[in-house]
Amino acid sequence: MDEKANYWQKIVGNKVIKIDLEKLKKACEEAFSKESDNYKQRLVYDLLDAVKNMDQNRFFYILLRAINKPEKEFKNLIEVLKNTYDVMPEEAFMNYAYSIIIGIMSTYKGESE
Amino acid sequence: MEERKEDLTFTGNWYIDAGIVGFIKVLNWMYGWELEEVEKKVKENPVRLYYGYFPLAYSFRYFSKELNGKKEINKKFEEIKKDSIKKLEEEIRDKNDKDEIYESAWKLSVEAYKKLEGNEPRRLPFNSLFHHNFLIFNPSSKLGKQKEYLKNIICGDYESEEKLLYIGKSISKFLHSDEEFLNISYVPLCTRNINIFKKGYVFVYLVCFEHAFENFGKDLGNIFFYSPTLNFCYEVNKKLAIANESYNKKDKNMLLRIIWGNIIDLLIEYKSLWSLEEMYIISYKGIRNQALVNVEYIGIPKLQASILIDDEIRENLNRKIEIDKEKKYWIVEEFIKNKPLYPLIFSYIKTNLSQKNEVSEEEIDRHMCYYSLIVDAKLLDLRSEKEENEELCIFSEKKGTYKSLLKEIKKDVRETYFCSNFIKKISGDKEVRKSLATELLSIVERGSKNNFLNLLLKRLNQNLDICKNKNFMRWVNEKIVRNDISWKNYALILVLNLLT
Repeated sequence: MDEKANYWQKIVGNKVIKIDLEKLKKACEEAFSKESDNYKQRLVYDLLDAVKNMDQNRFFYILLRAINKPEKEFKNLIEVLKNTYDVMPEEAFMNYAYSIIIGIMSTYKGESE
Repeated sequence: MEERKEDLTFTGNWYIDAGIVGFIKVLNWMYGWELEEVEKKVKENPVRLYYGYFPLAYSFRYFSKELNGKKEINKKFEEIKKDSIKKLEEEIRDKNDKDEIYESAWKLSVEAYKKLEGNEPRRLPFNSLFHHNFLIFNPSSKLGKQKEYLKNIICGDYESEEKLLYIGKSISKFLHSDEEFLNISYVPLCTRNINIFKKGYVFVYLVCFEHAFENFGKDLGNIFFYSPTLNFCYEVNKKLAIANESYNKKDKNMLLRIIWGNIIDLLIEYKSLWSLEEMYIISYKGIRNQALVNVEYIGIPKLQASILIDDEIRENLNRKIEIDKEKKYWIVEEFIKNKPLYPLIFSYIKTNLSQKNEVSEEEIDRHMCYYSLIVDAKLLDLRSEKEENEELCIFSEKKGTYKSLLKEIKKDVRETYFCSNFIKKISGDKEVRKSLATELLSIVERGSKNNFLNLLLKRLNQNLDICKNKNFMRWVNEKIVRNDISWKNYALILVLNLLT
């Protein structure tokens, strides 16, 4: 697939692990599908603040706290994060983070209004 | 001198080819002959054409320029013209000698001018700012000498330097000799450079150079369309001439549109893709000191031409844009010049935003903005792709035609129209939308994708209804998040939607 965004590639031994941003977003959608909208709204706010300052530490701290649950929905996301986590340069991190955020936002059900 | 074989094929040198078109235009103006007719006459009897028909037509062209504006003489002029043509045909019908033919033609020209002026002419009104040094245009050369000079031009015997002096003193630009500042050449006059084109009557074409251009008033200047095939080139210039006559010179925007419209319409008619590669608009503002001033030479690259062939895209790019009330741009023109359209549309939107309090829907040309931005984005993508894949095979599809590009552009426009609309739901209040648009616009100006997405998503986060819209979120993801090449174009489209 032609990727027009900056993305990161990890090299582990001889293997190159490319981060598939689409896969990441889908995993987020799956993971957060059952959470409440209010909770997700607050989460997204915090994540957006972290990305604004390019604070990778804080971003992953908030994210990991949120997915630290035994429910099966999170399994896939945890797997993807495990494979793709790395300390990335800013341009790549930006796209990584926003893919996650948009994934979460896509799961709003809109009942709270 | 033996009869020279001549044909009207283009030489590939735009200057001489312009002369050839000018030559045909002069004949067309006088006798109403179209290209085929002229070509036939060149083949069948070039002597009669060049020594008989041409001098008469050329003279009358200048008579008409001189009398331009004196409306009472118009009818008389037409009569005299018709009369002269008839007489010429009668007289040279049976003649074959070039001297005799030229005699008749010249005699008729002088007679005609006498009838127009009313008294004995001192000289015929040949005048050219560009070839000012050709003796025929010299204001002090009298009738008898002019006759000789014109004949020399037609004869074009350019082997010997002596003869060349009879045509003009600046066949090759020369400098003063540095010893005594005498006005003599210190390099021998030569026509080596013209010789290679193998045209028998090259000087005839040179003196017709200016007649190829159409004058569109002082703003647009003189314009000539050039493409390496004679047929196509002539047809386009003919259409330009017709457009020039029939439209009000005061409405110059209309004219610009007509010029581009005509050229592109003819493109469609001809449907010859290979000619798309080499098309040029050559324009100049005026002539000063025998040099063209402000020459512009606009080539139309193949990529742009392939995109313009599509009616929908062309319609929406063929628009005028006004920025700051002083600068006017024609989108198609900028596009053809291979300039990015994004900055133009950005300034356009910014100007509209700052000027008025309420921006109504009709005032911003949405279609134009959409098409310009998306075409621009696609070209950016294409360029970046090319940079990445240096080893792209020459015969690969991407470099061949751009059919798939057209489909992609149109698909993108449809999708964008549909999806980007939803941003309006962010608020029912126009003021709120406008203030958000202003903020986003300044972020786009700074070029910070992070800040843009941050602000956008924060606002969207307050409005869960929009987030529920899968199409919209997918569009934002695809066109802005996952796009580091042309995200600004799509970001601008969102801003546009908030404004209208």
